[in-house]
Amino acid sequence: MTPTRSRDRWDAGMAIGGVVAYVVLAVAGLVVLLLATAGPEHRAAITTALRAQALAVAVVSALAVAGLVVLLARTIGGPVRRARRLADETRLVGEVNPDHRLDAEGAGNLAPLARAVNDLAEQRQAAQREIAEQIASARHEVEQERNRLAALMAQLTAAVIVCNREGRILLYNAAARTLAGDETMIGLGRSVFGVVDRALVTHALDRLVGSREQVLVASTLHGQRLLRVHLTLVHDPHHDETPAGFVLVLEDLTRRHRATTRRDAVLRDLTEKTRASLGSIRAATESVLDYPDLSAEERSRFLRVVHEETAALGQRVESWVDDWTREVADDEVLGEVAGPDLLDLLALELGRRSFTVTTTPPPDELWLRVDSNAVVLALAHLGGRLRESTGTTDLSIELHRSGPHGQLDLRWRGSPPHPAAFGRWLAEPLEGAGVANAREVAERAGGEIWCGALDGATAYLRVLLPASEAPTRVDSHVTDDLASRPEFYDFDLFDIRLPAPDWQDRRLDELAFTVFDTETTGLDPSGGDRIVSIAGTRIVNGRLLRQERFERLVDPRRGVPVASTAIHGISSDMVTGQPTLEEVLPAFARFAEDTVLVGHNVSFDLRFLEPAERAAGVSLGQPVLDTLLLDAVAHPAYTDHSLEGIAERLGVSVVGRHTALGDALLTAEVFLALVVLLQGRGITTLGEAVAASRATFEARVDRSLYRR
Amino acid sequence: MPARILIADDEPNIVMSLEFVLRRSGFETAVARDGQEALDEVERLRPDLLLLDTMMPRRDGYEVCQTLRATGWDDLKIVMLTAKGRQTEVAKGLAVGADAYITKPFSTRDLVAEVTRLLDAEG
Repeated sequence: MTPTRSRDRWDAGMAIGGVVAYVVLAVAGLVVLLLATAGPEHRAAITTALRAQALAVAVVSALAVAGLVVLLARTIGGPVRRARRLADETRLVGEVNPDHRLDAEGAGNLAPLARAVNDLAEQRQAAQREIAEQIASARHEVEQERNRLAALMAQLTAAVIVCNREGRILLYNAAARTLAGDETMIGLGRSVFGVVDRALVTHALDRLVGSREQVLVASTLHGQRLLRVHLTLVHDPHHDETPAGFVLVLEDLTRRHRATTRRDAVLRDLTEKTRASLGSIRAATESVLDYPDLSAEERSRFLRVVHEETAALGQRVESWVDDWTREVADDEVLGEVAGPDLLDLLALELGRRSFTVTTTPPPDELWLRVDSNAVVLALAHLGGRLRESTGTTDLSIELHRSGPHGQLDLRWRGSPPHPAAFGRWLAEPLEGAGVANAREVAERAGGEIWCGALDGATAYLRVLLPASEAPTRVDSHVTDDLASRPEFYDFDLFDIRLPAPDWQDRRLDELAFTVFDTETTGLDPSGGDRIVSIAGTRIVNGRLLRQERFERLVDPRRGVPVASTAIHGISSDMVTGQPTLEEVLPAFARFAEDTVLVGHNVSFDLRFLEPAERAAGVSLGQPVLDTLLLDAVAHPAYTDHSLEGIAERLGVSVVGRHTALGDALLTAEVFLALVVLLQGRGITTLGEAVAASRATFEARVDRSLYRR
Repeated sequence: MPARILIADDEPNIVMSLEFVLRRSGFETAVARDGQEALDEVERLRPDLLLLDTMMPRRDGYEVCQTLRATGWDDLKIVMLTAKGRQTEVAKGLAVGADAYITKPFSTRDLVAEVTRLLDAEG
């Protein structure tokens, strides 16, 4: 406001000066004109008059000169000033306030320049808006791509884990999670060596000279699973020598391995026992053959030996056949198919080959273990041959249960083909089945195939297959009522390094945290109160990973008072028989490995954990943050530092309170919000947070409550 | 008149023992070495019972059985002998028209008992 007013005053002054200047100049001009045009007598008179009024003349002359100067200043200085002003304003638009526009009207004859600057400002703003939109849309696309990738990964049946070069897990899918079994071992930011032996991975990485892929047979740390691990390097596009990380694809060979081991055992048993029997038989028969002078009784004895051994061998073969039929059940080429589905597939293929098909599904649930593709192709092939020889195009397909078997029939009006011809068809190679012929398809599935006549008018082609059971559903841990999209990836972790020895300097938004909570029988650990439940969840790279959780009921080895059950809902029956805290702590310690512990009024929980730490030989040595204290740092003016109070203040919705897991999740959300607030107060590293917490702690009155 | 039994099997060792035991039990015997020969011999000798091995060259036992039943040989008793033991095969054998089904290794005593039972049932 002030500059404008003084400028206005200046302008007004200038204007008045200009008028004066014009007037004086006009008078002076008039005098000069008179002097010039007057006759010599008048000239002398005027000069005398002027000389008489020398002072006045001097003043008027001075005024005239001043007037001229002012006139000049106005004509020249004005635009210069205006230009300078425009320059300042333009800079304002460029650097400080992009919305500001120059006043074209007040710019006088520099108006075109002002308008040009304004146009440029408009264009610039428009360009910036466009760029911002493009960035947002590109970001959105990347986000969508990532989501698609995550969804794809989640659906893969193969277990996949992507790690950075230090072995920190960046991405994994539900199959990997199911495979790992133990939730403390697999998670974002965790070391993959909790799932696969470090030595084997290192060995594989060493062997990767030249080629990109490696196959290993590895075992998990727990030694219970046999995994085939495919390892592929991920290359950093900017640094070709050092890999950015690697991808592991895991196959669970345990089942197959077990099946093979079983089969080997059966074979071994068979050959050993057979060898033994043959030995006895051979010895006995040789005795009879080489010694014709044997008495009848002796000969009988030897022959009885032969008889016994052969009977035993026969029985062994029977049992091996039974075992072998079970082995077929483990053949992984075959899969369980529901009866109606197999019929539908067959009808579809027959329809494609121009048959008219009617379908009769089985009356009750019937599952078959077959290579469904091969069976359909085999039957379609036979149907084709049937059509060629009998002209049949109408087929009725049915599936019935027949004892322990499923009976799949193709029926038609007419007679069955000649057995010899049918035998030939069975031996013909099939296209696309990967199995040579129809007979082998049936054989592979443990079944038989033949033709016959139902009565004079109807014939059938029958496939008899052993019935199977409905397959067990793959247990999906992913379905989570809390999380809508499972967070199984974090590509930012590609750049994460192993925690520096000094936690203090690590940034709060980069660290990993385990936020936990416990429920107890009461408030006094030294007075006999114990933990009844402990739960935790993880924050990695600023994100709460809801489905990476730890949740255990703990046997307190004492009764649970009704009053405390009323608060947390855990009764004595629920915890009797559960593992004790000494048994649970090592697993919790593993879950919380390499993270900072966070809790609300955490020293309370830690006091309950301490005695068990000693007993279990486990030390939770990591740094600890207390959301109660952090809230005191962030909101020193407030007095309510209860979890609900903070949550309400920070706009965190409170759902499912008073279970250890519910409280842990709530504390985690509160913590994330507090981290943001603390950043606003200049607290960004762990060290700063700890120092601030301590300062607040020491300033609090109720020190007795927090003695540790 | 003693019943005539045709033995269709391509393994000479088992044929030898079967013939011996059956003859000693009072039956007449004849032998065929493969599926086609079995069909021809049935036509020629018109036996009362056929011991039919499932796995033979040229025509397997199921084919022979099915062909015979389809060409009017309904009164002929057919006993299938097999080295495999799967339930689905037994079902198939019975479905294509066999009267009985015996798995190797079997006891010849049991076989003779079965054969006798079948032939007596007819008579």
